Amino acid sequence: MRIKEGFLLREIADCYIVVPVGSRVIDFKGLMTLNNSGYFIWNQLIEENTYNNLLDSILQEYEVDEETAKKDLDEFLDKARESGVLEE
Amino acid sequence: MKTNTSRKNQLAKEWNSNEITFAARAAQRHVPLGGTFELTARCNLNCKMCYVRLEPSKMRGIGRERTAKEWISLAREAADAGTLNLLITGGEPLLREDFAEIYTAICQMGFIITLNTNATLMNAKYLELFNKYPPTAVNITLYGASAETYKKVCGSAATFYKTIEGLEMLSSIPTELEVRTTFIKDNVVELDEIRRIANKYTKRYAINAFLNKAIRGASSEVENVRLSPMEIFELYRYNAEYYNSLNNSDEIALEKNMDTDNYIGVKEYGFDLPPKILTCLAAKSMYWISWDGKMLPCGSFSGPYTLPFEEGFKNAWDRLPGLFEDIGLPEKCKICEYANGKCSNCPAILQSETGSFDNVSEYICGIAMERARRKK
Repeated sequence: MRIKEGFLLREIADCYIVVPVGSRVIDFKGLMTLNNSGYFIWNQLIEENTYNNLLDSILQEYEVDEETAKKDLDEFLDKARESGVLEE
Repeated sequence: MKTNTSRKNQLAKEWNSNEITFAARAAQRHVPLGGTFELTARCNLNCKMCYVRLEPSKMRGIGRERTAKEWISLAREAADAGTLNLLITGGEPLLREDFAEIYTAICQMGFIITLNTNATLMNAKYLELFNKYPPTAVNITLYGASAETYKKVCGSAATFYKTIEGLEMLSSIPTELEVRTTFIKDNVVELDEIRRIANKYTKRYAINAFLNKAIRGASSEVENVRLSPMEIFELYRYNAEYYNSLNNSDEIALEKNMDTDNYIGVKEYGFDLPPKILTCLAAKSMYWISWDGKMLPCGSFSGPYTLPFEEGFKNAWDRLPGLFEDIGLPEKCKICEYANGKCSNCPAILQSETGSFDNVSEYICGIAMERARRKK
């Protein structure tokens, strides 16, 4: 999986906001905002990545147990699918 | 390095729940979140009440339209400084020969774009452009329900049919369409019919009847054609009654005007920030850049202004609030019984109406009095 081309992650007023660029406006379903872990996951998905790899990266980056990391990752992926930014 | 995941981004949550809160938080950080690029003062319509339209000959005496290259470069600076929402307006922006060049470039920069247009210049090329790069929202002005009314209001009967053709085209692109009518004496009787036409294309229909005098060198007949305060509020009441009778939360009365009750909510939303004279988000998280390159808090001001094309966007934005620090409302306004929410207390409107920040406007006082009378 990876983030589709045509989306920009912008940092505005200490907030991470995903915005569509050009023709991506058509299939973007509302603004997507990210928290710090979402920002981290987004950057791991700029290139092709797997679920297990992402989970490992989160566990390496953050002081969290696997259950919390999975929850964060699943929340992100649900949001990304809902917003139409994920290519699987 | 390990990072504590409990450092959640509160702003992200707040954006989802309340856009204005995000705008206020941007204001607290002096981030220019929302901007307007007024690409031209030229317009193919000649509306009696227009506050900004200029003939090219008059424009030459004031300044020059900025080139496509300049607007594109400024947009990059604006994006770097934190602008997210960008309104493209005029005059009539589609009148610019290089509109597509400017528009295509800024569409790649990550803005949420809204386009203001009278729709009369829509053609196959623009349709292709907007299908390829749809603006997030398009606001279309519809000034009458007949060619006769367009002749009276905009100076040209044929533009009524052009507007309808444009509406047809724009309603086919994937965007949030809003139709807007400015009401004056010549078209006020057509509210129901205009709304009916608008609703063929969108449920979003907005009215405005709070009209101010022309600014920045423009001239209009607004003083002769605008509605009286009583007529304005009657129009709004009549329109609201229509929506109340629908009893449908998807269709509500939209009111766009410069006399918004922006006084209310200033503290609640957290944009009670300097310069205190501005009770809205202007010069706090919003700005307007005029066709000739002046940065203003909003489009209703004539000045003071900064010069983003000359001094750079960021510098112009940083200097803007300071220009309003020493400006105060007229003494009479400060002690007025309507100052607390019944009047917009807007310095831009005072400047439009009287040419200065120091004078009281009979028209504005009349509106405040009428509002107060109705709230009793």
